Amino acid sequence: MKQAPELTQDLRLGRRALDGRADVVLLGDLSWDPETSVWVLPLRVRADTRESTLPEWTDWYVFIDANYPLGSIDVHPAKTGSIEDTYPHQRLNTPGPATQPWRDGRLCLQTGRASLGFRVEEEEARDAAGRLEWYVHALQDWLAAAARGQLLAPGQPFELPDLPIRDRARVVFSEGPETFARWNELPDSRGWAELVPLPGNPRVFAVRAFYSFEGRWLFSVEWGDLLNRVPRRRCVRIPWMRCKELPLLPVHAAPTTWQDLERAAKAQHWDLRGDLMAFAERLRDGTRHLCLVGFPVAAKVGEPAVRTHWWAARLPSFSHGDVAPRGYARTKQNRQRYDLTNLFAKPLPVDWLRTDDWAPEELRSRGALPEELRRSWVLLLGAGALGAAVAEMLVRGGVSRLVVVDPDIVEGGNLVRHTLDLTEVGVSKARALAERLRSISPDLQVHALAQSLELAPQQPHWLVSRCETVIDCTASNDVLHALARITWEGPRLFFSASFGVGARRVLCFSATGTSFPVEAFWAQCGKWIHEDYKELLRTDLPREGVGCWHPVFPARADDVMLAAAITVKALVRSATLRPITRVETYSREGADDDFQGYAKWTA
Amino acid sequence: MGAGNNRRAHRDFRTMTLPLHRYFEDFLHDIRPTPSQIKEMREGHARLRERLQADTALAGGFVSMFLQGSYRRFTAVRPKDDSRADVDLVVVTKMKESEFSPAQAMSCFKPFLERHYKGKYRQQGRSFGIEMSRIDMDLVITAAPMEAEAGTYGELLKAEASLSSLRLDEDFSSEPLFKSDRQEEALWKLHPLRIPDRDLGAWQDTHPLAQLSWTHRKNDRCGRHFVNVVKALKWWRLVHLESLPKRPKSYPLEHLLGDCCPDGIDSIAEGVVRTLEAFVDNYALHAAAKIVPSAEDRGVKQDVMARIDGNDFAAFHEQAKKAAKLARKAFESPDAQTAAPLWRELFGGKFPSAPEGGSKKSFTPHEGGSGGVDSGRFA
Repeated sequence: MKQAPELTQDLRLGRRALDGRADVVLLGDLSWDPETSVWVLPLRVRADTRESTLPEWTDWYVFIDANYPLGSIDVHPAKTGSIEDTYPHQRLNTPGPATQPWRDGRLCLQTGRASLGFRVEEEEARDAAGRLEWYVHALQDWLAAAARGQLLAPGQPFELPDLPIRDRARVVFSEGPETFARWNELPDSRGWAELVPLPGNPRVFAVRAFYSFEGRWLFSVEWGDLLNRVPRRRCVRIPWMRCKELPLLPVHAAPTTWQDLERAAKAQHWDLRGDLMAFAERLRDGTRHLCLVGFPVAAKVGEPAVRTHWWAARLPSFSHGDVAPRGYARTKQNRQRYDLTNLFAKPLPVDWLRTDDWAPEELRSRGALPEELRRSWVLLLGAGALGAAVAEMLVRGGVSRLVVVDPDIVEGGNLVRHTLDLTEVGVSKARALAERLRSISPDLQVHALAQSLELAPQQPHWLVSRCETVIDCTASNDVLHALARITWEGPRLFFSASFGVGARRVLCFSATGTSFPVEAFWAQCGKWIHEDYKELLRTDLPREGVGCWHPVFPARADDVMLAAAITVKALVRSATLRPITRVETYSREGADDDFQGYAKWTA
Repeated sequence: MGAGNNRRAHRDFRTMTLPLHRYFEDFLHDIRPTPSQIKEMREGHARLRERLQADTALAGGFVSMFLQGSYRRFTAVRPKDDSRADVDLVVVTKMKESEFSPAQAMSCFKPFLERHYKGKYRQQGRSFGIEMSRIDMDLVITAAPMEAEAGTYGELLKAEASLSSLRLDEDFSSEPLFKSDRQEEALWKLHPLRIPDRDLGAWQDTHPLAQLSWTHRKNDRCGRHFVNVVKALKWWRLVHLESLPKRPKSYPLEHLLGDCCPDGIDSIAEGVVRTLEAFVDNYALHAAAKIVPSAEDRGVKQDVMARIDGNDFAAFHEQAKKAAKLARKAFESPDAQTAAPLWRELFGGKFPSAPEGGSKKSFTPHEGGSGGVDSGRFA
């Protein structure tokens, strides 16, 4: 929208609410910025900044969506008469283009919950009269907190400073309390890291192992099959450097140039030049290598550090071959002089890359299964519609060791309710499912056995013996009897889930023991299974297609997904309760497409 | 009180007051001529000019036509109750005063008006009124200007020929009324034009461009707030029409306001307050004696107040006194919540009301992370 839209009544009302206040001066009226297609309102606010270097009155630019009171409201400091440092809860406060009178350091004024997209009235006014005013209040409170140094107060969640990132590539690592303890025992402050590209996604690189500067193996990251399978010839070796604390410039700004980084390094007696030159000798190949900068971080402000965080940057290409130094003898000393001039004589920007901690608990902070289930090796019998959906939920929830057993192959007709896709038709269901699950979780180690359990010999596969949680999604009586013939070394959680016609009833049986209690299963589930069978007899079953006598089982994808979700719920409950035996049934209420919920029955 | 004292008083006066710039901006936005009126004005003006230029009978005698009056000076307000707006147009001709009587001069235009505006026009004392759906055009015929000045008027026609250059007040009251000082200088120096007065049977002086030029200069001296002060006070008159005498109104009122408005005002609010107060002070004796102050037109020797009655003026003065007190009280209010109702009493419902006292809830640092969400939707 290059052309200015109509100045709406709502916009007029919103900015009028600021007029005539003793602590706000409107420095102009709303003007349309065609560059960014937002309304711009320059204003001066007074805030309680006593006993700080911040002035009482500061100038700001407020950017308001044309659909106000909807849309976003951003607050930027003015180039003159405002703050020039970068504070916590603020984007990197660089001056930005000379043509615009505001700086880049947008403030984060929303509360934690509002940033999630929740629209809770008490947290942020949403009406035209109050929303802009709310932001100005928030700005004043932000300034007061900045003046007192309370933007990151002890006890609040720790926040990394905003990094200027232009590169589309990103580096992922896995750091948690265990690796932090390991790092603390290591004397090394620099070395080499093994970086592998994420299969299927050329933008993501994962740190797979750390080596000392001399090349001694320090430790490997516990990734799943997806990253572990990447052959060594596809790995890259990049430098890592570790410092004592987060390299920061006052107040809470990330270093944007190599000069800045050196200044931040000096403050903690870190010899950045020395480290870089040590690496440069081994990186004179004319390409730009990545490097990692690590530092300890705490979960909350003021608390001890609990994990290592890594930043990644693209190094400039070091002097090599004939490139430099021109006219000088190509000695080691001259090359280093050239490199250091290149890095530090002028403000050379650091090309930061985005980094993410993909440690299991970090990656799954949005919703993880209980720990006892995540830590357990899971045996999944049956990779059909129900099994595949259950497996996917378990893997997304954090299960990282899985054995899938299914002798079938994927058919086109399966796909109406199966999580797999057309590219996998004709492939073993177990193998195809394992491959799909690998692409979901970087932690997952999965084994696929394309065989049936009922034909299992007396001595089961070692993987089957290893599993602590056994989930049966085959709806096959033979499988239950085969399970009963196996004896595990210690107590296991057995869980069998199936559904009736149209997935109208979900039956979940769980038991704890060294062997599956098949008699108990029939004693407790028999009547339900019999009822489902009678229902089946009343149903006119669909068929696979022309030319096949075999009927197929009717249940739509939405019904199967509901059944799978219920199965996971019941499984989680059983994993906590560890019952000797337990039966739960969930019967759908309401006629076919008039869904009313489920009636639960437990024994 | 010396000059120094005055300056100090002025400074105090500024720190304790509430100019409410945005309230006045929004108020003015709502009392300016509506976009549809402006559109019809542009179209009516353009069509009339085309017809005048195309008319074979008049072509030889037609020099120029230009917009004048409050629309030209950006001091027009939207007519109240959706009545039609009056637009004044001056038609400069080549008719010599010595060869045409006022009645003859006017009758020259009748065939043209019969042809294009049959049943929509009527002859008035000094002009023709043309009635359109949302506006009335007032056509003033003038005699030939001095030979040397005909060219300047011709240029004025050219300048107004493109529609976009016909600028009517749409939120650019802060822009200068002239494109360049040279243009202004040239127009200012022109001699008065002569218009026929049918009732007097004589040619009269008029100098609309001098009025325009004076307003332009005054507006500059008043921080570009003057035309807005005039509009606000014209609106005050419309809102209180019932308690006010019929006159003074339109240009005579604007003229008096121009005499009263102090230079160097910093806001419309300040202009309104101080203009009303100066009006009350300056004309207190006139009002007491029930005589009308005389005011000479900006361009010609003529009393613009000639048609106003002394009793009317006294009654008007009485109301202005009340308005001045109210405006002062509003201007010195501590906050918008107190001021807005007072301004609304003065200017009616078009002046925006203040929102109720703002909420104090705002930025709370992230406490306890993202957990414990109370309510809301999520996808």
